[in-house]
Amino acid sequence: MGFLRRRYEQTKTKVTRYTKVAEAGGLYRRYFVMNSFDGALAILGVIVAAYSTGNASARIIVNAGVGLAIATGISGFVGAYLSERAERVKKIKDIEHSIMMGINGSLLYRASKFAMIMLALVDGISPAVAIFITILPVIFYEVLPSSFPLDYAMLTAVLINLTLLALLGAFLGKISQTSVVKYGLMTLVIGVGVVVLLYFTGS
Amino acid sequence: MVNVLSIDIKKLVIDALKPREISLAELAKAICNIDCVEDVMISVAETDMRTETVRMILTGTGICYDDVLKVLNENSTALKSVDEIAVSKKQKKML
Repeated sequence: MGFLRRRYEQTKTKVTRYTKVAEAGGLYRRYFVMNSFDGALAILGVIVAAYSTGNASARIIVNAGVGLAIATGISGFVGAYLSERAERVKKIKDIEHSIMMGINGSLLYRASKFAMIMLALVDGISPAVAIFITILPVIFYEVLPSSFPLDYAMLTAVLINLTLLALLGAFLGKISQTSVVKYGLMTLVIGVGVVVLLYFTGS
Repeated sequence: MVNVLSIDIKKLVIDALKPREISLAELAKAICNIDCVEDVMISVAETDMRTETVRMILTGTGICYDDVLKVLNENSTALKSVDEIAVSKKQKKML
């Protein structure tokens, strides 16, 4: 236990130090909110569009959700990794040029590499998590179809999704140290707007 | 009984160039972590868009110059010049 605790403390210190040196703390938050929001709205679109057809099937929603999670996950990971890599390689080259010394293997170099991977992971995982949380009631219905009607599962999924959007907004409000309620309501209104728009255009 | 002379570095004054991403506190702590370095004082002499020229005063007993260079490299800091150095000679009696 002592060894594990020591290892945990060492890793925590290392992650904090790398994040500080690579100036990635704000980027983690930004990527997390931006992509969770993307994923949440995308799956909300799938569920409402499926519902508005009047002929929705749980299997189609779950398959579409899993497909969406994988696709947005890969797209987020690759996109963030490549763009972060390009930016950070340029920054390292600029620094090397400024101090007239190679910095391969230094703290700054290692922290930049760590930040690239972590940002790509955050970018890839966050939409997938938002999608998975939203479709949980539909997955539950797919496993136990006799427990409740599909409409209830879809309605619960939409409510979970809207709560998620409001929480993301509240998180933004907390970061900006302004009104948590204002930001929460703003993202909630966007979600409700998407539901209304898709429901009426779909039907 | 043999008399052995050892010449120890007691004080080093260094001029170095560091990226702004590396904080003064982190750098000072990393240098102070070197064996035999007792005190570290760093002051910023010049600030550029990407870099800072810093003046470091290291005191201790038997400061290892190579270790100091290693820590500077680890922290992406380029040594510009050694502006002052103080060494002392000690005689040790060994069997």
